[in-house]
Amino acid sequence: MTTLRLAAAVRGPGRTGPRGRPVPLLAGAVVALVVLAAALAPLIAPHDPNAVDPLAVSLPPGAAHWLGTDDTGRDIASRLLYGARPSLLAPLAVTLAAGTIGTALAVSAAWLGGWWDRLVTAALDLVFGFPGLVLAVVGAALFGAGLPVAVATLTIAYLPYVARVVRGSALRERHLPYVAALRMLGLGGARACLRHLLPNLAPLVLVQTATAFGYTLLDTAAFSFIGLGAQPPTAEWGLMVAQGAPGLLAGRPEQALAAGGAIVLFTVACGLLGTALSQRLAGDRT
Amino acid sequence: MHAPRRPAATRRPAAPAVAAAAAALLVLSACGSSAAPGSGKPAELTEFTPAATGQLDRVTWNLPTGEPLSLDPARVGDYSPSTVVSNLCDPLLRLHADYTYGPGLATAWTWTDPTTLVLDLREDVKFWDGNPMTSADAVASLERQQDPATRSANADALRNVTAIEADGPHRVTVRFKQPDQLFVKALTNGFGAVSEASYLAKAGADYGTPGGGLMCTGPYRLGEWRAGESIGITRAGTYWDTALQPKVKELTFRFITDGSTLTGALLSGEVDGSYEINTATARALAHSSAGTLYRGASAQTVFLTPTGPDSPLADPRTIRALQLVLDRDALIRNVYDGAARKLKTFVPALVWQHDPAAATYTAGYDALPPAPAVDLDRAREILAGAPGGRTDITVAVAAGDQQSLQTLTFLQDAARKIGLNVRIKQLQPAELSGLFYDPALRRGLDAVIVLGYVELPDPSSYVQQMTDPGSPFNWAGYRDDTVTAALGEARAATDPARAADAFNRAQAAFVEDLPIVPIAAPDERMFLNRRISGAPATFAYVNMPWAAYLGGTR
Repeated sequence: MTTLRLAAAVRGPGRTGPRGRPVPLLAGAVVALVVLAAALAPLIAPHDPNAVDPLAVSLPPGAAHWLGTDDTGRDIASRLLYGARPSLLAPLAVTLAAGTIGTALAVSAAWLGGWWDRLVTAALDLVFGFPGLVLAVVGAALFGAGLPVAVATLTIAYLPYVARVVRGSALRERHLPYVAALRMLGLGGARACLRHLLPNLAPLVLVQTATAFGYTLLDTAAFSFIGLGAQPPTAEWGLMVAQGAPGLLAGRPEQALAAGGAIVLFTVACGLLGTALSQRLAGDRT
Repeated sequence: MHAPRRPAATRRPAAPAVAAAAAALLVLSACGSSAAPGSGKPAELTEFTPAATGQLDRVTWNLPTGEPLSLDPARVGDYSPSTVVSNLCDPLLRLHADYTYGPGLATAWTWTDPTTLVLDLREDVKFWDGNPMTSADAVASLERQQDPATRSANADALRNVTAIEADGPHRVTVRFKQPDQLFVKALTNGFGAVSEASYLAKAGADYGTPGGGLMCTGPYRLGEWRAGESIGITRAGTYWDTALQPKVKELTFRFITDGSTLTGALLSGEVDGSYEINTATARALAHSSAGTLYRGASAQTVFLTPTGPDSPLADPRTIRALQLVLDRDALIRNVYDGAARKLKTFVPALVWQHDPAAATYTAGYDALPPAPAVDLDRAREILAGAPGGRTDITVAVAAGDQQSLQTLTFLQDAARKIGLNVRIKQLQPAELSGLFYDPALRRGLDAVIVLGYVELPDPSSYVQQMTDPGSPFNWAGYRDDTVTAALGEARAATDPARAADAFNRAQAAFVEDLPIVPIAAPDERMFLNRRISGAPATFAYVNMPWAAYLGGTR
């Protein structure tokens, strides 16, 4: 019964996406390729991503510079490859932190109930009311701009997205007969949560965080785009879009389009993969 | 020193859907004109665009640094408010396109003795409401700036003033505790603008706001100010200057700060013109058939300055080392497409090159050592002689200010070669503006890249703000009694040649040890749609009624 309920919880709207369809495979391949490129950037990047060359400014794509150079002569392709690292690591840190803290808060609130549940719910509702950008601006004002601050503020902003859904499922789970049976057998609350409740909730948490990953990537890129995230000369996709934007109407769109394209591609791939994952899990459980 | 210009791209879409935007960007880039960087050779320097030949009902103009906070002439001291107010509120003396000045609302200014200045006012001037302008209005407009509550941007001009008196209906006498020729030059900007005394009393602190309005004598009167959207100005019924009758009935100012959006608006004709066109926009507009890109002399200057006495840049040796790593020629070519000047100091020549003592100023400038060429070995030697100093330098730049960021990236790379680690810190525009006045906002920073401008037709005033021991902009605590004394002498001298000579002595001293890295002096770049013409092309536009020159091309 538990698995059936969870399957219903994780089944999202949209296409059914049966196994064997090429879209999830393609999405998985894109994600794998980008992750691989990030990991191997020092080996495959043709140039130092931060090497400035006043004599090679704004060069068009060519053999020496596959995607051309930016307005300080840096190789765009190398910056794109190196840029994958902070562009992926920052959202990964956000989703891991938000997933872990959100799940802990949600499960404890559902299990303990009472004033703790009310407090956690109210706090999550409060955070939910603030757009991530506002939190980022406040964070930057208090602690300065930079990726660590952006990650911290985005983690706070994403907590409700994970915690509210997990709390709902945890509440339902909490009142199932097997939990009562566990308690009657003398199992403590902590052990019951860790050994039984969390494993049952894990697929839901996985789907939530996987789906959120693409959005957090978009958000961290947006933060860098407005100057609150990665700081120059870091190669990071959002920052590259910002730095390349003036070239769009001035005949050098390569940097903005390459970095923007990478963001689009990876976000869409993550979304498709998340959907496929949720459908796969739902299918497995039915 | 004026707060740095706010960047062209400061108002980007909040939380942009970067992903979705990329597709739109692709379309934009395909549709826009696409001059390759560097291919848009800047036009020759122009003082005025071709004279207008026709009347126009409406012109839309852009303020690339955003919406003004106030249009109170006493408080303006930045690009946007000055661009608007210069057409609304006439000052007592008028700045010309070549940075010389002459009669404005005052027909004559006479030093009757070294500490008494008499201003004779025009008798035929009326405010927009039809009331005649008198000396009482001029006195009220100047005196209110002695009150700190007015927050005058030029309160320093009153430093030596002891009394401002109406001496008849059209004569004002100003008394000083010591000679001060700078006061006269300050009368060319918002400081010298005359507002109606009764209106000032009625509007109080709201003067110059959307609710409080304005009452001046300029060629245009303030129309509808839609906060966050636009400011409208309308041709005044009658204007006292019969030689300068406005040809455009209504001007609407827009506040487009994003470079790409502005480029699109200028190309499509949605916006007719703008001053302060940045390099990326200039490249896109260079070959456009929508209008013409003009280049004029400017009083703007870009430099790096330390934010406090503890900054590594407060040490002149670090400054000298940085001077030797910066390839200014490459920087001017790449960042400004050649539309900038290499300076030996941080005062652009426009400020003095048409002064009566221009020859003296020129001789003084020519006598300075040349702007240093790149010499990494010498830079390392100099740094080696400054042991124990910090090698990490945090430099602030406004987020979205692509030209400054590009400049700092070049500097960062060059500094690394001599062992200095320049860390770039992007600040939001409000933060960056704030740090000029709030020491707390300068904490954690070592330097800031500044785009400033010299507003008065006098170099001493600008330098004084960065060298006087008590000046709020002398953050590094610079002190050189020779410089202070010479600049004081220049300010007091009523003879232009003596003032220039004193300035030259100060300049020869401060270029040796003032902790400032001059980077470049950008030219003024403006764009006019093909249906309009006539506006001045030099930076003097900030304090002259430029819109009154504007008109149709047919």
